[in-house]
Amino acid sequence: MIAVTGLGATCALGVGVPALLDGLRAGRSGLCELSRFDPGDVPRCPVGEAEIPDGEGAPTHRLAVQAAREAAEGALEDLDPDRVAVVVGTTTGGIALSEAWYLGRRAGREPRPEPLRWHPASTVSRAVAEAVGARGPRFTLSTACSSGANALLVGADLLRAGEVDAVVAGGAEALSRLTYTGFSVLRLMSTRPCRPFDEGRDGLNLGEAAAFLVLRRAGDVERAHAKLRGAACTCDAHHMTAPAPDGASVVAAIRGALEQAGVAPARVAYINAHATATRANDRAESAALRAVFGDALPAVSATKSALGHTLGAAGALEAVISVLAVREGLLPATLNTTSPEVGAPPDLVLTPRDADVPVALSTSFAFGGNNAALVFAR
Amino acid sequence: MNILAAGFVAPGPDGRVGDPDLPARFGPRAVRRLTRLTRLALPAVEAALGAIDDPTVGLVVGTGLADLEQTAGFLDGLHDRGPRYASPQMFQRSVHGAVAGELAILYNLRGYNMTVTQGLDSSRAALALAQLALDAGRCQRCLCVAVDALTPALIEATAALGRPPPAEGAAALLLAPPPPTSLTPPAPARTAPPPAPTPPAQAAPPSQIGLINRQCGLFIRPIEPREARYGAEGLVRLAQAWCDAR
Repeated sequence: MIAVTGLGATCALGVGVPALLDGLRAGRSGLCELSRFDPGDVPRCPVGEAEIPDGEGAPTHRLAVQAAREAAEGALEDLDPDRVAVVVGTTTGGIALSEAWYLGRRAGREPRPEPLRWHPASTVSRAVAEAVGARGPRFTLSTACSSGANALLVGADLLRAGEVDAVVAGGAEALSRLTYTGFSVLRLMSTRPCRPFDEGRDGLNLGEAAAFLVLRRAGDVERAHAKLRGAACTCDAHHMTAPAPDGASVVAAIRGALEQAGVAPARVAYINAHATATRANDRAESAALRAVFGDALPAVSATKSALGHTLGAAGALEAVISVLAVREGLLPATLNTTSPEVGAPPDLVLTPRDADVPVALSTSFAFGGNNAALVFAR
Repeated sequence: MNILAAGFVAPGPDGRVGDPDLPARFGPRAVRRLTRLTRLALPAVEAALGAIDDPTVGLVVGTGLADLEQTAGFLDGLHDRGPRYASPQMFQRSVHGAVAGELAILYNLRGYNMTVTQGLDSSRAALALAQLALDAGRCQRCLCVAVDALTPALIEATAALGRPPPAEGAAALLLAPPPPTSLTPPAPARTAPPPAPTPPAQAAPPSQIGLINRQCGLFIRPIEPREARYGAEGLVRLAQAWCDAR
């Protein structure tokens, strides 16, 4: 079994896990007007901007380093750095710098090329490893919006295989013109705060964040925030951007994670849903959750309504929230939703509330049909 | 790990592959929609997976830089015609996971699906994750693919940084855990791997990386990233060595 011994997060609700927890308890939204850049002739939509720290690299690197340091604080002491791995999920790495270089060249300027060194997504895991003093294996996963969740899955497998003694695993993503414009021309973004599972939902809001967890073998530690009991990953093999309507592969991912955890569906008390607030995603996810849980669907919330969709960071950020749900007995809210659609989860948490959460499930889905599910428990 | 089958597409002296021969069975319409990165990988995948129809085969893709052609094309549209007219197709194909998604659709692979990007170390990283997936029981067979494409944007960027021109290529290995009878020590190498210099300090390799194919008495080890010109090169050389030994 895998223990979570460190947590770190920087997101639209603030810097650090305490700020995230305070925001979730208060039911606060981190969404704001886009200030990072002028979006040009595409609609200006709300986003979840994070406070980008000073430092080396692109904004994604700096977010990652800040959150990883918070997670690693006191969690890697007395460990051989060669036995500490880093697994990072991200989709675009240093694109915020390299797109500026590329667009500058297209505009006839001669921008300095040095920032291009930060373009490869792999440089994010290198920056994190250097920041936390890890010298073990390093992996940068890029399965789009499930990257952060898959980083935790791979981290847990590395520990179970005995390859390492600790893993700093998570995800990081900063806003960029590429992703903002891309989701806009795909017509997947809403011009108002997103409304997951609402009958009137009309798209997602983007966000930026980094979130990291320190993973250890449970037998090696005395205390933990929670346990990562199970994880699974599947693929729709259906369409590059649209989820398979039957949700069969999502069902397989959830069942796979529960099976690895040795947990019956009835024991799950809380689900942090992927729930982007696009029409197709939420409908397919509702169907998949009903296929697994039947009429006994537990409390569900969609925290992207407060944080935005943080892409490569989302799975890790929602993993941190799921750990907090287990540790603190807190069910965070789905903001902005006022009229849940027919077929939506019956216990959609619309205001934060306390509850006993022995087991929590977090789901993440992505372009390319990639699906990941994580099960956390006390 | 055992190599069950392999295929590769290696570059010529100019670092380029040219137009790869694509499997006819997918039809021109399906192939036309694919990214160049997937088209590069397809002959290798076809050789490794062939007619196997098993949706539980796991898939791990390693790529150094994903499809910069799509990223650059999207940004070109954004700049030349305005953001509203940037190509949504190019955006969705620009993600690192596009190859894994497209291959999964073509071959109906519905199990474990992972994409790793580790620069010039991407081949080794992909092999390590394939091995990890097999050891963890996430799949019984795993298709390990590595692919990188030489694109105008990449040439422009490497020239701007004063670095030597990269190359392109693709490889695919169908891997499985060793059979139960393989508890004997690995057989001596029949194919010498490229000389392996001391790994750089920042590229600590996962342990036990290397392929032991006991059925044909072959031990091969990926090249070190400092030797590679592109992320997929390590797996291309592995696949070449395996095919030569067969």
